[in-house]
Amino acid sequence: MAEGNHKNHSIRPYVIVAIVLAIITYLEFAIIEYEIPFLGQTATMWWLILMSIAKFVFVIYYFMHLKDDDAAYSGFFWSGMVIGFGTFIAFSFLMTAPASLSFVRTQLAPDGQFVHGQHAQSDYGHKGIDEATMASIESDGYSRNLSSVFDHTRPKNQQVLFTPPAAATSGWTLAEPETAVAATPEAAPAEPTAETPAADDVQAQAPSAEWDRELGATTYTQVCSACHQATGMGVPGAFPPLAGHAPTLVQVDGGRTHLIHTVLYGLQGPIVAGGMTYNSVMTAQAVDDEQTAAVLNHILNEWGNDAELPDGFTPITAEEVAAERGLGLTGADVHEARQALGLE
Amino acid sequence: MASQAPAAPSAAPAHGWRSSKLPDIKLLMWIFLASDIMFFGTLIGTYLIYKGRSLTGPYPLDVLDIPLTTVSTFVLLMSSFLMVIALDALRKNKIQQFRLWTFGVVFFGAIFLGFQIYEFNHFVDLGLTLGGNLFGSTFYVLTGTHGVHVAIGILWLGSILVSSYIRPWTAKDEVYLEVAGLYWHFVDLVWIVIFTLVYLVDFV
Repeated sequence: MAEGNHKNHSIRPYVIVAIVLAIITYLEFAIIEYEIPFLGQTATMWWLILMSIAKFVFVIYYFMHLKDDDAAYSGFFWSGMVIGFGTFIAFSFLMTAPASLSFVRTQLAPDGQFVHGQHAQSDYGHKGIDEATMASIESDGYSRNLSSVFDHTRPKNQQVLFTPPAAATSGWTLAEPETAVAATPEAAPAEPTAETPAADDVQAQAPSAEWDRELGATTYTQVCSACHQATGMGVPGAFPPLAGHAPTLVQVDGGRTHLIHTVLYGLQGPIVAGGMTYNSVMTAQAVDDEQTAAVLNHILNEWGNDAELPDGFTPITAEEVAAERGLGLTGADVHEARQALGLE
Repeated sequence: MASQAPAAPSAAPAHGWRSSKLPDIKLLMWIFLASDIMFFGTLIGTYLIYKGRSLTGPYPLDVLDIPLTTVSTFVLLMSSFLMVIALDALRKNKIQQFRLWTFGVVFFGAIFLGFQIYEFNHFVDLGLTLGGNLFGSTFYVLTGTHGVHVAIGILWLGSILVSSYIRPWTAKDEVYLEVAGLYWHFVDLVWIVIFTLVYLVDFV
């Protein structure tokens, strides 16, 4: 073992290893600083990782002399490495969950019926709800979708998300859905009838089903994605998700207008989206009418949101947006109006 | 302070139950390092997961300075080299050399730490704070934890240096220097990973 040859042990190997380490460090620096032309991005990345592994191994086998030492030390250290690396791999799945869940969400319950029905049952103690009642419940436009159940950001102990919005409750308890609608200050004349839930005034217009998709996508990237993220999932606790949430807004009478107002005037105050409470400020966005319409349509159709749009939904138009300009609202006003719509 | 490397158990009376011939302190250090690598594993993992998710700047490309960090990486690597030759000198009972090289390690370690303090100050000036964005939080926690490790290493090796003047160290004390050295190399090891994953890959 190491013991015997200490006396005349040469430091030469150490010097060589030190020189090799210095050279590798320089190469790492050079590969970044001078951008080797024939190396692609991926190749550069792998070379960097390879070089750091080489340095790692040199240090641990020569400087920490695991090479000549008792195998028990190596055993302990590499066990730690394996567990540490395993933890890292497990960690890396942390953020991938939302995307897969939104897939499940769109696959399983595009219209959110499942949750709604389940709720009705638990709330009313299995007394049985006939079809007409169910239709009536759904017609009020407050169908909750599965996003509230599956949303990854929901803390385990947060049951709040099943609490229906104030106005929705009146719909659920079947207490005159008209009253609930009348309570909205937006003065939307159309009352949702049980048969045609989406027979909204605006939506009843001729289906000009197209919008500038390209403009919508670029506007989203430039204006919205910084907070709401390219995935539409937002940032838990800071910025609410649009995926799974935005279409629930247009299911409400006046929700279309509310969406437009949010972009034009911002939104300030506590809201609930995807089962989580957010209390931050969205500023009024500097976008023109076309951009606003396009980006809202983009949001309403991305990430599986289109599956949750009410029947007969027509894209928001630039004219609609233009009509909402100049109201001089503040973010707090928009929030107030949102609550008046029965939205949390 | 009497035990000597592999012939170890002299510190503890030879009980029949003792099954390992390995010096306790060294075994202890390796087990600690194994746990510490898991600790750093989670911190590095956290950094990488939150990478690119900052909503406001400054972003890594705005603040990181590769030439500067390359120099400090080089300094830390060389301190590791001085560490092995300090241990080698102690094993050969060349006490003056052992002191000189150990001082070198402490000195180089302090330079590294100085770079880091400069870097942190500079980054704060640029608007990168612990609570400012995800990059700030994860970056400062990771590199700060590493910096604390370096500082502890400096104190440890510094105290060995001081004690070598109070009580003469000889070749039979090598295991104590070796253990401090293992710790020091480990800190270097972690930095090798941080340098690549935190600093370099951003610029690819």
